[in-house]
This record gives sequence, C-alpha cells and structure tokens, in this order.
Amino acid sequence: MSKAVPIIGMGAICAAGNTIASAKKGVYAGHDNLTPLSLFDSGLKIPPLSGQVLALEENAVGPNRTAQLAYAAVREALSGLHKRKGLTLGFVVATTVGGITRSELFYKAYKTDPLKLSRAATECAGHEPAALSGFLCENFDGTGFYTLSTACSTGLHAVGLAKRLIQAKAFDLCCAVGSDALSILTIRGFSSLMLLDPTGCKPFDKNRKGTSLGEGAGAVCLASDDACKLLDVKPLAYVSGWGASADCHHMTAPHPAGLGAITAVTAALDEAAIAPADIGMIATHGTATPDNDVAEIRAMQKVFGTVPPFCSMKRSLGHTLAASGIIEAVFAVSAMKDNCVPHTAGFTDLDETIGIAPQSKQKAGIRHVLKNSFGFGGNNAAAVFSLSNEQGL
Amino acid sequence: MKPFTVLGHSALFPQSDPVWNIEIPPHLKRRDPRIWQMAYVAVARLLKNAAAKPKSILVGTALGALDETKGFLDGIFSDGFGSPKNFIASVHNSMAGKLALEFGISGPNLTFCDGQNSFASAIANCELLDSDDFPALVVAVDENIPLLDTILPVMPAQCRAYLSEHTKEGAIALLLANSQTLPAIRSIGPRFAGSNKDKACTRETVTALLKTQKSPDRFFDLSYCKSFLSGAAVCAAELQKNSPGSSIVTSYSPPSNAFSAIELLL
Repeated sequence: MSKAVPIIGMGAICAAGNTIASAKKGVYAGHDNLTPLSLFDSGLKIPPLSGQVLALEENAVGPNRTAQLAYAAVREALSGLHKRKGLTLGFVVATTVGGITRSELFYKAYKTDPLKLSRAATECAGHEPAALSGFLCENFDGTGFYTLSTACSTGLHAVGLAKRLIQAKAFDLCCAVGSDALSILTIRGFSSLMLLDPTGCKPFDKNRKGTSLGEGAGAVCLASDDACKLLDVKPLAYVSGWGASADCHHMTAPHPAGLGAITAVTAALDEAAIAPADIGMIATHGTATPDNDVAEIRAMQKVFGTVPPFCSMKRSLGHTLAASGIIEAVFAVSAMKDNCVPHTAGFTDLDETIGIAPQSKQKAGIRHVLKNSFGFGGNNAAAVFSLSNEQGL
Repeated sequence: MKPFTVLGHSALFPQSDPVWNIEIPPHLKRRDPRIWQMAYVAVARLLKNAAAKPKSILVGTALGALDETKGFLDGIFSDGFGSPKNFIASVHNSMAGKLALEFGISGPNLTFCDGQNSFASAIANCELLDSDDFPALVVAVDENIPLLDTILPVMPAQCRAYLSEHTKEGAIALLLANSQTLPAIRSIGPRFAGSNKDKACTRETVTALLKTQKSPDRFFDLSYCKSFLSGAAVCAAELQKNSPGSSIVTSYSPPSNAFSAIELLL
C-alpha cells in the first residue's frame, strides 16, 4: 500500500502549549518544559519532573483528562473543516491509560471505604480505552473507529492504520489521535522500573539516567485525494510510509542491535519509495533510558550509514506514551514545513558509546522526516512524512 | 471488506476446561500472569498442527491484564510499592508482546481495545496488512476478576447485562491466510451508533455493509452482548461445528456506543 496520503489538519496539546502555534517555537528551541508533578499526589517522596498540561482549560470537554486532551487536539486538527460535505470521518485512537485517571482514584477510595462502591458507575464509565473513541465520534460526528493500545509505539501505528484506512476507502477522512494523561499508575509504574531520571531526562546524553513522563494529545487528520478536491483543501504534508515490527527479544528491553527497529524503519522507507539518503531529519523516540538510546542509534546507523540530523523532544514534552508518536510527528511535520531541525533539550555531553550527537539546524531543506516510536512488548513503529507527493505515489 | 481464509482455530474457556493449565509450559507456569497463560495455551493449541507459521499478530482485548493492573494498584495503595512485574503485564499489549516472544512472530504486532468489538477490530485490520504479513494470528483474550463481579451490580443496566455469561474469560485464536477459500471470515469494525437517531448506525446497517448477497443461515445478535468475548466465542463455536453456510455475528459495546459485525463463510 504505497500511496502517500494527504494530511489536511493537525492539532496538539502538551506541556509546551495548548496549540501547535503556541508550542512549536519552544519545541524547536529545545525549551525545558518539565516541572515537578503537581497535578496529583503520586505517593513518591519527591514529585518527579514531568511534562504537565498546566493550563488545560477549566471548562475542558470530556469525561476524564485523557478525553479532554484528545478533544482539544482533535478540535484543532479539524478546525479548518468548516463543512464536511457528507464525507465520512473515522478515528484511529491511540491510548494506554484511557480513563484510568478516574478509575484509579475510585479504586483507591473504594479500598479504604467499600461504601464508595456506589460511585463505580460514574467513575469507571470511561475506563475502557474504547470509551474515548466513542466520545470523539459523539463530539465530532464520527462514523467509526478503531482503538489501539501498543504501549509507547501506539501513536505511530494509529497514523499508519489511518493511512491504510484511507487507502482502503473505509473512510473519506480519518483522524489519527493519540492521548494519554499523567496517572498514578504510569508514574509509579515507570518509577518501579527505575526508569525515571530524578533530574529530568537527557536524551542521548552521556549522563542520562532515564526518561520523564508527560501528558498530552496529538491529532493528524488524513484525507483521500477525492475528499481534498471536494473540500478544496491543500495538503499540509503527506504520510508516505509506515512500518511495524516486533523485537521478539524481551518484554521491556530493546534488542541491543535494534533489529526490530531496523525492520520497521526499512519497511517505512520502502513504503514511502525513498532512499535513506532522502530523509532530512529523524524525530527519534529518544526516551533517554540508557539502553533505548543506544539501541535506537545502532539501528539508525545500520539503516542510514551516516545518520541524518536527529532530535528528541522528550525533555520539551515529557514522554507522553501512546500520544508521543503523534504529538512528536505533528511537531516534526511543522519543523519540516518551517525548515528546521528542533534542538534536543537536555543534551549537553556526547556519549562515546553512542558516538554521535543530536543536532539542530536552520534552513534545513528537509523534504522527508522519519519518526520512530518503540514500546513495551518489543513493539516498533516508524513513519515517513513528506512535504510533497513528489514520488507521485 | 475482504474475507480471509481460516487456516486453523482454537479456543480456551477455563470454566469449561478445568485442566487447561497442564498445557502451560514450566517456564510460563510459575511467574506469568493468568491472562498470558490463557493466550499462550489457545495459540499453542492452534499452532501445534499448523502448516504455516504466523508472521503478524493482531490481538483484541477489552480490558487487558486486569488482574495485573489491580495487583499493581493494590501494591501502591496498600504497601506503597507496586511490583514492576505487575506494571509490565498491565499494559494492554502485553499479551501480544509475550506471544510474539514465545512464538517468534516478528511482523506487525497490534492490539485493539474496542470493548465487545475488539475481536471484530482485530479481524477487520487484517485488511490493512501487507500480503507478506500473512498468515496472520488473530487472538481475542480477556479475563474476569472478582472485582468485576463486585462492581457489576452498581453499573448501568446495559453494562450489567454484558458480563453475565460463562464466557466471561478465555482466549480464542485464528490463523488467517490472505486468500478467500472456505472457511473464511471478514468483519466490519466498530461503527458509531450516533446520537442523532436519523443517522444512527444499527446492527442492520453494519450487517448491510458486509454486502451479503443472501440472508445468512445463522444470525447472532449480540447487541448488549453478554461478555467481552461473546462475539469471538460464537465464531469459535461456529467454526467448530463447521456446518456449511454463513453466519453473521453482531456485537454492541455500550461504553463506546458502537456496533460491529463478523461474517463467517463455512
């Protein structure tokens, strides 16, 4: 399925800002947007540095925080579509926590006071990930949806499946949405694995000790060529390739040589029908855990030989889990359009075991960007975004 | 909506298969979550005599490893420490990751969480795979834990109904080929029922989308279906019977207000 599919709308809400316009300059400049966790008490003695959406509007729409974030991103992505002209709209929704931000608090209260059981109907109503998809369909007049959950790689898989749903003519328009709110479960989970850096994440840096979590949502609206003509919209960019693979190595650690990542990236480049040398920027997964960063660069060196300019946005946004693939893809596409490679916040010292450093660049002349996302379960996703459909795919 | 040939199928429902756990290999028996074990045994039964090895895996699960999620939260809220083992397994795609690891499936690895429509979602997305990603392993798996039975009485009527059958937990596995010989299966993934009644999607419209030329011999309306696995369980039973004809299984998921349909061509 090698046809490039137009992107006609994008949206993002994250620690760097509530819209793409308000956030992108800070992301490009590598602003550090991590702050001590203040949204809730995680139970950790020292609140971890996290990418929090502190200015989520008070009257935000949605039954839980994950839904509220998703609503804001989709509203921005669809803001240019004043009339749908009868076109069908599908959603591919990526989330890991769904509505657990409410159900975990219900469970905590219920454990200390079983009489709180009566609150289950309202507090657990949005627990299932699919409830988020139904909520988006309800509010944006959607036709149908798929709800994906493949840990931190989910967002890019959602983009890939949305591309293919358009190609299969399942929907005229299809919105890939990734949304995850910060929760006690994820903060304490990453803490239990000793994967949180108490001083904030430092992607690819010699002194990196782990990641920092964040929250947010991203949305990318794809359209068929016929839909673009009917709506008279000019594509912002194109999704030209998607690749997926499994490491078959370990449930949490990446394959040390990045074998699964190589497979996913190669598949994405093949589908985009471009050579590795055509990639002008890699928006890496770049979680800043010691093993992940090494494995990712090993994989990129194998695919590219000389690795193109690359960046990680994790210190600017926090690791937003299932949303990260889409939020970071939104800013990678924006950077491509704005002709720059973003600065990697948190990086200062070269790690000799990695051997290369992320680099920002102005007047970058980028035609294609690669976005990587990797997750628990050895799950790998990669996608290529292109400025134009120059391959004529 | 393309049909896929069913190369093989298996099912495991612990309640009606009390000695299933003798099939769990020793290295998984001691430390792995029960939901992983159920998924493993269903797939091992399927692949035992399979002529081809799967190249991709698509899992449908409504709630994932619920017992592990509860276990992790219990640790945090009771002792102040959550086990990393519980956390790793609590991720919705942990079953798919474990199956890929155990059976060496290195292709696309996708997990769909669409409530009662999860199995339909997994089948429908086979159409989006590349031809060299086949055979595809499709698995439906969910587990029941006592907390669900505790919560159920206070949930809305629609929700109370859908967790009241014996197929509350189990695993179903299919091996699908990218061809259209019998027996075959195809599906329409979740279609939003809509708040505007004029435009409402119903099981009839979802079924019509399958473009069945004649009425199916068997129609299973699982609106307000009885468990997360109802649709998958009906499909497994129909495949087991292997009576010539066609069946359509429709499911409805209250939290997302969406219908799906699966058609079996036997």
